Amino acid sequence: MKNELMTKIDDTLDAKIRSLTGLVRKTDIVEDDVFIIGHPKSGHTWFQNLVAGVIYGVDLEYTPYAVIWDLVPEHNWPYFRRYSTPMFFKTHDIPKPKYRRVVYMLRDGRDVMVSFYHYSKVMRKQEGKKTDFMKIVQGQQGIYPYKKWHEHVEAWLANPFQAQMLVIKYEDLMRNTVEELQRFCEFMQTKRDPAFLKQVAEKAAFHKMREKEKRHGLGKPDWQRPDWPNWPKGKNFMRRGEIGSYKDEIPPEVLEVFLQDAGETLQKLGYL
Amino acid sequence: MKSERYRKVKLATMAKLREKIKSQVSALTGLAHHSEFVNEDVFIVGHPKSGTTWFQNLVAGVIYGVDPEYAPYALIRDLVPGHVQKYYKRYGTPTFFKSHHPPRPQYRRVIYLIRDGRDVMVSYFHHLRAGREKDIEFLNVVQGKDVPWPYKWHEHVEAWLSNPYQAQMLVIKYEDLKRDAVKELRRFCDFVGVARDEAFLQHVAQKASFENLRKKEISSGIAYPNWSTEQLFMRRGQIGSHKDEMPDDVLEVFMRDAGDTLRKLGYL
Repeated sequence: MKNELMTKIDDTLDAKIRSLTGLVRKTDIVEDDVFIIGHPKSGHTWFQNLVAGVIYGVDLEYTPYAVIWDLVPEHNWPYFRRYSTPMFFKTHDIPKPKYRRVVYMLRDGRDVMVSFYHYSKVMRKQEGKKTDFMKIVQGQQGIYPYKKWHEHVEAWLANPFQAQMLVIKYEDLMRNTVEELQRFCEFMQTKRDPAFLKQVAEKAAFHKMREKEKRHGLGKPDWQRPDWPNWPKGKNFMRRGEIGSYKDEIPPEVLEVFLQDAGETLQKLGYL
Repeated sequence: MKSERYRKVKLATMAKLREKIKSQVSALTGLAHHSEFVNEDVFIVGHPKSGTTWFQNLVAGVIYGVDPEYAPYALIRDLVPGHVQKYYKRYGTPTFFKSHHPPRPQYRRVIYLIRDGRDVMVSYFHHLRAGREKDIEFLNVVQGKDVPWPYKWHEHVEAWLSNPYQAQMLVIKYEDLKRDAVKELRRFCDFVGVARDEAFLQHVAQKASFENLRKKEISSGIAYPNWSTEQLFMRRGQIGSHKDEMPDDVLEVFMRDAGDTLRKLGYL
């Protein structure tokens, strides 16, 4: 339990930070704000870049990643700058009443597991921990505290708090980016012409984003979560970005266990 | 004796507290204190109302690839922070700062913006009137009295042109930027060592036109904490506005000080 003095110091510091920097607290969100949500490794980072391009008109070829993360910040960062209303946030959170407008990112759970395994391996290695693919699909070794893949997906598709929700499939976004961006613009009631969307889509293509990461790094801050390991330098966050990578990367026995849990959800979504 | 010791302890405690706040702000927000900058950083300097805000938009477009027509001023100010802001984020090195300061030994790379002092005075007068100095007299403005930056226009210009600390310096005239922005942006790119093609510069220049910046201000504000929203910051943006906006007596007083400088720069 915090004593009174500590609370007072925290409050003073918080007020000081806000007045010195003009930033606002992560809790200062409004109903119009939009949350880009999904199980980790479902294409959020890509979508953050697309939103920065479509909404704020940044040229992804020159705009550093660090700028993108400030324009479309992670919702768990303690402070952010409100550049516009709505603001767009990224989060992997489960449904909560505060999320009123949601873009839910969906990707074939098998590919998600492959990607999540590689991601978790890199993250956990920094803490000297080993990673077991089987435990990953069983939801026991992820670095996020949220549920198994199918639970995350089912929880959101049920939309228990009646958020305005747009579902975007990674695979559709991959095959026809412009069309999905058009759906996004309609959802947002924002007008952008197809030529513009095409330009943004091209600049956010996987190989372009990967090249940019190689040249300049990911620009992810290491300050927001002292308890959270940073993505290590020299590793590619943008790893493969393909549809169907599970086919050559998921061992049969791991796949079998995953399908016991996730089979129905995959079927329902047309992945099986 | 005792009170002297008390004073010392108090000062030391305050200093410690300030340090603590500085490090906490950085830890929680990722911002750096404005006293922390490096030799590679570039300072966009000029007397107030010489086009520094416009140039911030251009730099944000050319360097960071944002669209000046849509990028909110708050973002422009994060990308190219004013060097009076307490904290800023280092998105890259060099970081580009905007400043109205007289020469400083720490500023190693400088873009100095120059504009016809007579137009600067007209603009400055309107700017101050729209802000907090509602009752200010034009005659005082041209003499550098009651203004927030305590120097006369020609002093600022002469001080910078003499470049007392041998900064690397590129001088850009507002009027040239107005007439052929692409050409001046090309000089800027050469100076800072970035490669951008002609079409891109053309695109940025057009997006950062006075009309577009004005429209942006109308739709999403200027995001200056001290600016009242009753007037537009982007007021007129023309060459030669002194011709119909500067009373003869004010001009005369201004010319006594600034005449030589204006002549030297080819404005007369």
